Amino acid sequence: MEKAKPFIITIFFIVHLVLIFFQGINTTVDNYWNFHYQSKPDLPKFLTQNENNEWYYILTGINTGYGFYGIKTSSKKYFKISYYDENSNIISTDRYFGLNSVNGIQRLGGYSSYMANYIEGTKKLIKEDSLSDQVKFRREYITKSMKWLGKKKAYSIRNCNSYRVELLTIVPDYYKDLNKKIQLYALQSNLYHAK
Amino acid sequence: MHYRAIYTMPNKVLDYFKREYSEASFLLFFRVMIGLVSIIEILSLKGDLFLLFSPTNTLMPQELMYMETGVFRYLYPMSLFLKENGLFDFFYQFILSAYLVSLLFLVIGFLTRFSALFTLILQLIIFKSFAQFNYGYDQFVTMSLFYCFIFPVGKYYSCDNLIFKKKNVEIFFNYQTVLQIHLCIAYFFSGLAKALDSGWWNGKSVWNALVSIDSNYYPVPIIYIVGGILTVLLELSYPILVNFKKTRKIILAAMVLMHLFIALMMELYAFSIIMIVWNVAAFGELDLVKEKRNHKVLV
Repeated sequence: MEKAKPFIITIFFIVHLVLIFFQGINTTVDNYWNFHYQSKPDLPKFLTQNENNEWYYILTGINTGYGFYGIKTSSKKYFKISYYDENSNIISTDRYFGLNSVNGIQRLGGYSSYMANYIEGTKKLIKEDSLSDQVKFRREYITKSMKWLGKKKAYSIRNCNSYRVELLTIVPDYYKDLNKKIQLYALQSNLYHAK
Repeated sequence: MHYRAIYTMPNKVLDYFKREYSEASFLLFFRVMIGLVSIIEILSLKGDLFLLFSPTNTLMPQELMYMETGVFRYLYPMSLFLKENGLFDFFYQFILSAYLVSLLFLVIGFLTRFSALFTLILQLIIFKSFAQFNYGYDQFVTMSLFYCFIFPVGKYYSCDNLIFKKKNVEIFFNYQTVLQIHLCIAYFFSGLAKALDSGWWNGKSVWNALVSIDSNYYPVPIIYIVGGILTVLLELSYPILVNFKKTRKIILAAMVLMHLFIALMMELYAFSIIMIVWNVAAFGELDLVKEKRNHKVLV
């Protein structure tokens, strides 16, 4: 048994590293194809993450690709909320939703990017079949998620009648004049009643 | 000739993972640093954590936060179970303290393997509960804690050694190699993904990654172009250059600088620190602990 131990350990780590390698290949190819051809690649895939082995990928943290800021690096995204009174005058605006720490605000930035990708994915699905159950679900999910972001504070502001949640993106301007202000574009903008 | 090559290949692979030097420094450094970085990171989030992970005060309902992620089918039944059994509030009060205590146990090496597994499970439950707010750092912590569980990180200079009177035994398996290969794969695919994006060759992706509405830092375009190309070349060549003794220190220093730059410019402090820890643990010439010989060989 003592002699078999090194062999078993070596095999375990080789399999583990091979899974990481193929996860790297699969996510890179998927992202490349998705960006350039708006579809999934019609290529043979080896050692992919599936329902049966997913638990191992999650437990070991290898359920990720490594193309951080890789293919299709997009400009930064921000959520912005504006609270309105009954005359539609702005009471206040906010971008941080109560988060104060650098860490928390960075994570909110990650969430903004996640939602931007989710919205973009939903738009693609709408083009294919706007009445599918998946599209209905995703639309409702976007609406509810954005509603919840501002709901608690809106209810706590006495004269708040409605609030608007916007997902903004920086308009790329790579060679911009240093004195020129950065332009923002709303990817999604939803208005909700506060009471 | 071919038959011999095939016949000897398994032995060559096994030899590759054989230990040639003491693993004590690597295992000690990895255990302590991963524990400390995780403690500092969660403490830095403490004031905001209730907005991401709490029974009632989260930005949006907890279920909504993990609904469209791969962990929904694991966390939702757990959440239902806790609610049905009246354990929901207790769970949220208990889990953060338990996570911090188990991280402390990991740092001092007390019940190390058990602490590492417990920490890993708690880390997954806590951070996957707001999976949409996760980023690269969280994945690397999960991987690190898994390695802390699998690697014998408590074998050297730990409370386990003092309490259970375990001898400092030599480990024949080169666990550091596992981390080295993992890091090389990570950088290679990170570099490849960037190389496939024209934005990294013309500076546009660097612009996208750096420019925010809160900063006024807009250098001339040539800096973005040079920065982008350097990043791609560094990451793609990392697996090769880090394996040559002559270039190892240079590429390691370059990587540490790159991560410090990411920390300062993008405020991704925790991610940068954990990547530096991985680089130093995997390829840094750690000689904190003098090599001990003549010990019993044990897995």
